[in-house]
Amino acid sequence: MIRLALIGCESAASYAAVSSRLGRATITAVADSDAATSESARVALGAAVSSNTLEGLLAAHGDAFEAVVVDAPVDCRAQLAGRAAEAGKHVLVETPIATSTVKADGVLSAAERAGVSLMAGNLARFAPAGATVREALDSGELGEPGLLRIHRWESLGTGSWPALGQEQGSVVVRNLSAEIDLAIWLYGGLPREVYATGGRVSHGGIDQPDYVQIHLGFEGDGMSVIDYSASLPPGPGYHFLSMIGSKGAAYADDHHNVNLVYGDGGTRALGPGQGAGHILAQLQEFVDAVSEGREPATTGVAGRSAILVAEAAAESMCSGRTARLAGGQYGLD
Amino acid sequence: MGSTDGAVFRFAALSAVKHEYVPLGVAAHPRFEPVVVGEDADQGEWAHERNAQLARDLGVPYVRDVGKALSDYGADVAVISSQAERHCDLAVRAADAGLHVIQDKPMSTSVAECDRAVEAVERNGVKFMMWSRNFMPSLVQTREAIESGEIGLPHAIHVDFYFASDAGPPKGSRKPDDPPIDWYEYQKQAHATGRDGGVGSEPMGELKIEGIYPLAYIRMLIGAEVERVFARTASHFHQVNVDNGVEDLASVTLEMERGIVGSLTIGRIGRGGHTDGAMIKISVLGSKGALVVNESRPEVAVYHREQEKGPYNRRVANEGDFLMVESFARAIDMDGPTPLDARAGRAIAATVEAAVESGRTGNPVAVR
Repeated sequence: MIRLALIGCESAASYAAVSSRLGRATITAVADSDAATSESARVALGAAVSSNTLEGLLAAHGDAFEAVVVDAPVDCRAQLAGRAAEAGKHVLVETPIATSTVKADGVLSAAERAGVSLMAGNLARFAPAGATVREALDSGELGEPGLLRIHRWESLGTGSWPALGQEQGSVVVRNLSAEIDLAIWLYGGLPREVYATGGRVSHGGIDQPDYVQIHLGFEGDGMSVIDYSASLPPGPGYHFLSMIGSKGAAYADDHHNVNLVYGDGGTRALGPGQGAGHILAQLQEFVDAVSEGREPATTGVAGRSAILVAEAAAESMCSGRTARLAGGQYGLD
Repeated sequence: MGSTDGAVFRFAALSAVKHEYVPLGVAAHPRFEPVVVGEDADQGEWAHERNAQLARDLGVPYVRDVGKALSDYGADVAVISSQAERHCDLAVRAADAGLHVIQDKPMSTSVAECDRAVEAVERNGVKFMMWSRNFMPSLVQTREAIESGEIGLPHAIHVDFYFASDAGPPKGSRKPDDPPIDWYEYQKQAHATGRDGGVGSEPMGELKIEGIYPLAYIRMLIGAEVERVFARTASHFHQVNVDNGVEDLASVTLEMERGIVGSLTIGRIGRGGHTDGAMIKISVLGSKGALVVNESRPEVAVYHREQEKGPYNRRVANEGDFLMVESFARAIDMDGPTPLDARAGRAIAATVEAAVESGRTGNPVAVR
């Protein structure tokens, strides 16, 4: 039985919804910088111990868990993941695992030195849309992947934004790494070409682009267009994923799945839910990998690769030039 | 007074070797009367056979002389649906004869030819309209929603434009000793059996064949010129595309005036790619909201026991062709603009040309 600590508890309710279905593991500890959040998470998850910091948890209850799930804000992830690894804990940290490849390298090094398992989680891989498309590719139903299209549009306040004055590239790393990782996973390798464009289009409060479009060219025929927007009004976001293959195509489109409600306020579309199965699946993969002493399905190296491509996209966006892969690095044309 | 009550325009169908739905669509409007079908004498017998058939269908004479068709039958309008590379030359000849022009897609395979058509149309003061899908119900609805201000100022627009049909044998099916598929011969044969295609001697990828439709949507809905593109192109599905070095799948990033960003994904993705024969979506992001539109709606789904394959959904309530031709008639009546005039067609052709170049080089390309 693997004992887990949840570090960063904003989404504790989601974990609580699946914790009873988790095999070979239990959540025994929680930590969040906000004391009330930490305590409510402890209760919701039935954890034995809690703290306001990872350091506090390690110091007072280090024997209470063997692995951590880092689900903290993007800015804190690399530091928390690296520290947990140094303390000998296996680590599941959500993508992006850091705000830069330099910081990601620190996490990877810490895990390697400590000999612990590092999983770069990406719920987009386990969510119904991504998982089904991958299954359809693996089964051969779609043939060779040709064109991956993703829209992810959210409302203001949903994305992860760097502080005023921080570098533009950070926006791409923060908000598009998960989709980039998904594309790399579906195509089975890094893109050869990266081109990106975007702008700040709709609102104040940030001095960064809030609309970004990335265009990826993969080995052979493969291509992908991914765009991210934080310009929707308050409410649910919109997600679209399609993969056009040589023998067939898959479409995962919120538009296709909406239901309608006719009420006093007019007609309203009810967006689709996707359940919590993907959260459970990701957690279970981490637990199983740790239990079996094998590499997790989504490695720390994969997490770093997504950031590498995101950084290339950011450079392309700023320069208006194509970034090309050579020798494991991207350079502008 | 509605324009359906106005004067009747007599039209000559010129070289209707490709899409007979263009002259038939014009003829269906009560203000347009076919008077002749004309073709150049030096075209192949297959072309004369198709033109003669259209003439019989329309109940008008067929002449193997475009000059006579333009001058001897009192035509006001020329409707052109020839091989793509002949489009603009026929348009120039019609404009020089004082006729208004309705032209099939693409405007041309060459921007230089488009320039020649723009010059002739403007010098002769005639109206010119590219055939489009801009008046389909969902496009009209989308335009109205944007114009109402409901989503605020548009800042991004995306179109997926996939036809789920085959184009001959699949990629990789040619045996080592087989000759490459001849583009022109294949297209003539394919079109004769009712499948869409790029009829012309010059091989064309999907961007050239179909790109005008989604790019015309973007142009109508956003009203901004495309300044620069980045594209990826591939021959992913069909042997005829592989053999002739033209794409059947493409993705294009569009950088437009006023900082507007767009994208187009386009392909003839094979029959297995969608049960409805096509998957066409338009999505627009604005400063106050967004629109996500399925171009095929409204539709009615029909299923029955003998059905072996789709499409299952049938488009309904589509008065797009009537509204487009009506708009052309009004433009003549009022000496106003046509929905997709020669300059717009030229701008789209230039965007396509830049995208093809970008796909070849892997670099962004300015639209000129």
